[in-house]
Amino acid sequence: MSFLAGKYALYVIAAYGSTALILGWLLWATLAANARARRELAEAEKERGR
Amino acid sequence: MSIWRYANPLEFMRLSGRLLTPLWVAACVLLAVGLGWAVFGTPDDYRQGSTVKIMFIHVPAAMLSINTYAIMAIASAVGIIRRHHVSFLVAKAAAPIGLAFTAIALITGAVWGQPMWGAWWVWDARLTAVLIMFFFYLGYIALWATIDEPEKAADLSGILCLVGVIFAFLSRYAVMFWATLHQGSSLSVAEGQRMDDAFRTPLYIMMVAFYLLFIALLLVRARTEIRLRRARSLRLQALAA
Repeated sequence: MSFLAGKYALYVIAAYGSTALILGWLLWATLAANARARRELAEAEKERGR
Repeated sequence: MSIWRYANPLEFMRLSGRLLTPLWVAACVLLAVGLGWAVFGTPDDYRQGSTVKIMFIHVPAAMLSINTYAIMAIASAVGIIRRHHVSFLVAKAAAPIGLAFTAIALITGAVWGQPMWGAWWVWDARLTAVLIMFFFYLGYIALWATIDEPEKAADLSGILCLVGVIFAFLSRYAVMFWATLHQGSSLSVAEGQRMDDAFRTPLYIMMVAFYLLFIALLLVRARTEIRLRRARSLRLQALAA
């Protein structure tokens, strides 16, 4: 893992770290919105059935 | 069999439901293999040193930032011309993903540019076009969020998306029109191989992994939009009854 000790280590870690953060946020936001939509549709279908 | 049958939300939900699990699995496996190879299995470049490893995320993200915009523009055009709601919803679903990949491309580019060019940012034609495209993504998402009437929001945001196509085009081709600081394409079929196999193979794996991740995210987000639209429609029917 020479890049972790090299003179550009911070740049490489910053690039991969920021990518992980953005993709992590995107994944979380996508799955959370999907779960919310499922709940909302289930409630709407339940209300319609009443 | 016509492709237009997938403009039917039920057909779209059925097909996308079947595709999602294999897509997630393939994306995760390829991402793990690609990242492992890129970070631990590639040598440092003789000029760029270890910053060459940034290329493995910067290039796929930059490609996706432009291609996502192209997909949004095509979907918006189909939506406007053929009045297919699923097309508008696919464009809407793609926007946050494109925004995220554009942010990754801009950030990783800046982080690579500082040690290599001596500057975090330059007002180069390609960089500027990508930055403007980033603002178009933001504007598109904001427009959808601020208009309550879905039909009107779809039409107006679709038109905004089509206006911004010029910046997606410039993001891709600016290096051919102007003498830019940003280098030209390293993966060109027309100009032959410019990259050593040691870097090219893991880069291809990362590109495929990013594309699979994009498709999986797009399908989940499109399914979310279809569910929300269905829930809204049921509520309106209940109110009208």
